[in-house]
Amino acid sequence: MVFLAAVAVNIAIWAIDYFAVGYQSSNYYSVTYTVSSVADAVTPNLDSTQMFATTNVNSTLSVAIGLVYSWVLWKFPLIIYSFNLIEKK
Amino acid sequence: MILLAIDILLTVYVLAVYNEYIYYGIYVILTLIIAIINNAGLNRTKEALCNALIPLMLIAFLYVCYSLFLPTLYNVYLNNLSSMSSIFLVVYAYPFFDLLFYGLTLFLGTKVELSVKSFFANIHFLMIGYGVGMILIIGYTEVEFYYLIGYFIFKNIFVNWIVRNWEQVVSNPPCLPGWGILYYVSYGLSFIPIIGVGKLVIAKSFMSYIFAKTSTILYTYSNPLYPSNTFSATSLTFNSSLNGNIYWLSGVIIWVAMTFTQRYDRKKPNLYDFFYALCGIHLFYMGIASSLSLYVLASFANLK
Repeated sequence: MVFLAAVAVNIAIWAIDYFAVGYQSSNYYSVTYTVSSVADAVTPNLDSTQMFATTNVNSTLSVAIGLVYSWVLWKFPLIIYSFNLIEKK
Repeated sequence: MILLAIDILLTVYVLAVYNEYIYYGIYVILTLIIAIINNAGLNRTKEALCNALIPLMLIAFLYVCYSLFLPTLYNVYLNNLSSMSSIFLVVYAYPFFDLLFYGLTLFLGTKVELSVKSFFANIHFLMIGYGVGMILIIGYTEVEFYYLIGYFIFKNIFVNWIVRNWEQVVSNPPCLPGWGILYYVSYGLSFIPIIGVGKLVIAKSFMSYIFAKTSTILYTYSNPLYPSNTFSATSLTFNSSLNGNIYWLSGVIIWVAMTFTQRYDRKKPNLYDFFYALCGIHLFYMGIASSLSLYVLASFANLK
């Protein structure tokens, strides 16, 4: 049940993004975007192409939404682990 | 709050310079500091050090191996061998690396305390994600598909039913079979969250077609010998019929083989487990996106 609740959170985030926000939020949003000369796709990878229009790449809203998503799905759960570590034994 | 402020600053000022990596590094250091400070008076410094560092550094290590080391190796094969030889070498050598990573994970699992085992166990999601992706990109009509499945069945049975009786080193999270739900939900919704400890993995959008459009490495394009449903450009949003270059049945076969050959720890869940499940889900997506991107990374990335 706990796992299903976590899956539901993921789906809820997807639904909010899909129905209400309509933004992709990664700085990799544009398939031609490169971030590193060490390891990055030279040729755009269409397997990861965008669903929404590319006009809002790296806009303030898309970056802010990216932060929120990453905190809900990954960074805040990691901080909970930090709390687990300092719990009284 | 400090970490949130750091993340915002990094996002604003160094968005394109590995801000996610820097954030993760700072997070690990801060976690280590508070863990040591809070346990120092109890003379548990060594335990605090192990509990804080081992799981977090293992995640980073596996992530780098999956998204950088293995694609680089594949790139070396491609530069020195024929395309087909490279593919076969990657597939047949994969169990060696998986065994290495799995053994390392089991060994390090003995170095952390019981209270953090439920977090540590979620690292299995990362490894199973990568393994599932590796099998998927072969295609279920190929003997290599069953070679890798056979390897996983052998490994699971050996570790879960034989080794486990000698040593209590195996600690699979009870929800590990849930990766099947994650895979098919993501397939149907064209959904994969922003992934990566850093954004090295090429599956880069929040809503991605990586599940549907990734081709098998043996049949780059749709082939009559490999049943698949070409992804339709008209169904750009939902993919409820599970059309894609990788046939939908492959996931079921892998799920059955992986799930029923393992044993899972049973325990009453607590609130921590909810957040750890979120971590596990993220790790699964990281793993499967890394392996599905293997060919793209090896062929088109600047791996020198």
